[in-house]
Amino acid sequence: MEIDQAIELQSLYKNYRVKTSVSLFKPSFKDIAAIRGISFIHDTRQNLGVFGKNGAGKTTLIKMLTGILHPSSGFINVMGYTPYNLKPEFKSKIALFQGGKQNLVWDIPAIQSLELSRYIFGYSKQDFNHRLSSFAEALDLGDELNQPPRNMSLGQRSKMELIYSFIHLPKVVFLDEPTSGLDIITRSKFRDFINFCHTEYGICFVITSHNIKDITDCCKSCIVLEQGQIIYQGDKDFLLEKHQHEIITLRADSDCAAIEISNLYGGKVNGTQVTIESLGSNSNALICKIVSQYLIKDFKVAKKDDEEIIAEILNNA
Amino acid sequence: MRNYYVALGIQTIKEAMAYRLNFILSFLVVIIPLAGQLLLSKYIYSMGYQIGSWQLNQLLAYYLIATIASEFFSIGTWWDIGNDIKNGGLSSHLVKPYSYYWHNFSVYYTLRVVSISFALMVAYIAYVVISGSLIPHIQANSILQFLILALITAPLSFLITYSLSILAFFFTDIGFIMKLLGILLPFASGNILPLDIFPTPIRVVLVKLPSAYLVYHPSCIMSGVYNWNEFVQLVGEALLWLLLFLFIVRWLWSKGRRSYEAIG
Repeated sequence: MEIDQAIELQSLYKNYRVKTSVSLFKPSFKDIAAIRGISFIHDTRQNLGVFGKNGAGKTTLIKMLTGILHPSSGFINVMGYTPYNLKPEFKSKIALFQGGKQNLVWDIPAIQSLELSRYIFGYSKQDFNHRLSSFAEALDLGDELNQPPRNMSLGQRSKMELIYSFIHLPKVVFLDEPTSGLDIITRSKFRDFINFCHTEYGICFVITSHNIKDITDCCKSCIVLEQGQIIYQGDKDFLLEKHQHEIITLRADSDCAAIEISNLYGGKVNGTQVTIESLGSNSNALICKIVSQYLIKDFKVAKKDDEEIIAEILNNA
Repeated sequence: MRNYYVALGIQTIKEAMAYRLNFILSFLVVIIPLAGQLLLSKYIYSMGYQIGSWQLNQLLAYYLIATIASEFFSIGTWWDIGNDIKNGGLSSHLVKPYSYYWHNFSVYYTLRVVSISFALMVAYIAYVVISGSLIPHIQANSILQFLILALITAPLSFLITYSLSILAFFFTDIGFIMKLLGILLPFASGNILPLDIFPTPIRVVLVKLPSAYLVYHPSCIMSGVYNWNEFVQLVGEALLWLLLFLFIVRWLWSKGRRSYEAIG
C-alpha cells in the first residue's frame, strides 16, 4: 500500500482537560483519556466504518484524522500528511460531514452557497454543473436547490450539506453520524449515495454512525472502539459472521422431551417449546441431530440482524 | 483563493440583503447619537462657550467623521468567531483550504462597507440639516492623509477585533469583553468628545492607545488638525500597533488551536 493511499495511526492518545470544580481563584481540572493508544493502518481504496458506543472516542478519532484536534501523543498520518498541520493540499483531499451541523447560509438559495465550493477548491463551472446534476439526481433533488435552507425539511437540508461537503471530490470523506435524525427513506438514500460516490468517483468514506446499516451497507472494513481502544479491526463480514447467533425454536412432542433436548444441547424451555442459540451458522447440523433423536412437531431458525450483533459486541466489550 | 474571498463578499452582500430591517435600524443607530452630538455642540457654541480649541465648523466635521470612522473601524468581540470557537463551528472552517482569518476579514469588511454606504448618506443628510453647510470643513490634503491612515487602521481594527474574539479559545464566555469595550471605547476612541480636551495625564495615554488611531486621529486629520510631520509620526505609531497586533493574533491563534476542543 502506497503512503498516499493509507491512513496510519501508531500509539495515538488524546486527553481532554476537564474542569471538575468551579472556583474563582483555583478551579480544579482532571485529564480524561478519550483515545488510548490506538494503532491501525487502513487502505483508502476501501471504506471504513467505526463502531462504538457513545463516548467510545469515535468523533475524537475523526477530528484527529481531519486535523481539527491535536493528538496528545502518538503518530498520525493520512495520505502522507500529518493532519493537524492543516496543509492546504491536505485539506483539498479530505472532507468532513457532521450530521446535524449547518454550513450552508440559512437565508439565500442553497445553490449559491454550493457554488462557493468552486471558488474554495478551484474547479470549473462546467465541472460544478456536471457534479451537481449527478449528485442531485442520485439524491432525488430538484427545485430545492433554488430554495434557502431555512425553507427545507431536515432531510433536504442534510442532502444539501452532504453535497456541499464533497462536491469538490476529495479522496477521503469523513462522515460523522451522517444519518442522525433522518427518516428511514432518507437514510437509505444516503447509503445509496455513498455507495454511488465510492464506485463512481473512488471516494473513500470513513463513517461513524449509530445507525448500524450505514456502516454494514457501505463499508467492507471496520474497527470497533470501546473506551478509546480498538477491540476489533478487520473485515466487517468476518466480524458479523463470527458473532452471528442463529436462534432455533422447536416444539417437541412432550414436556419431558423438551427438557431432555434442553439439557443435552443447552437452551430455554417453555412447555414443549425449546429455544436454542447456535453460534455461527451450524444450525442445520444441529437440527438434523435433534430430529434424528426426537420427534419434533415444528421448528424455525432465525438469524440475529446486524444491529443486534453489534449491540451484543459492544455490550460484552 | 483570492476569488473565493471575493465570491464570499458577494454572497455576504446577498445574505445581508435578506435582513433589510437591519439597515433601517442601523440608520437610527447612526443618526440618533450623531444628531444629538451636532445639536448639543451648536447649542454650546450659541451660548458663547467653546469646546477646547475647536471651532464649531471643525467640531461638526469632527463628529461626522468620528461617526463614520467608528462605524467602519469599530472594534469589539465578533460574535461569529467567538461562537465558532465555543460551539465547534470552527471545525468546518479548519478542514477547508482557506485562511480562517481572511475568510472573516472578507465577511467583516463586506458588512462594514454595506452598512457604511447607507450610514454615510444618512449621516451626511443629518450634518447638512444641522450645520446648514453643504460641504464639510475638509481640505484635499486631509482626505489624502485620511486614506493613507485608513490603509493601516482598517486591518488594525480587524486585527484587534480578531484577537479579542479568539480569546474564546481560553475563556468560556467572552461577552464581558464586549460589555467592557461598550463602556470604555466611546470615550477612549474619541467618539463622544475629542481626546485633546481631556486633562493632560489622561490625554497623553489615550491618544497613544490603538483605539485613538481608529476614530480620534482619522477625525482630527479630516478636520485639518495635523501637519505632514505630525501625520508621518502618526502613521509610524499606527504601524507599530499593527505589527504588535499581528504578533498577538499569531500567538493567540497558535496557542488557541492547540487547546481547541471542537465541541459537538
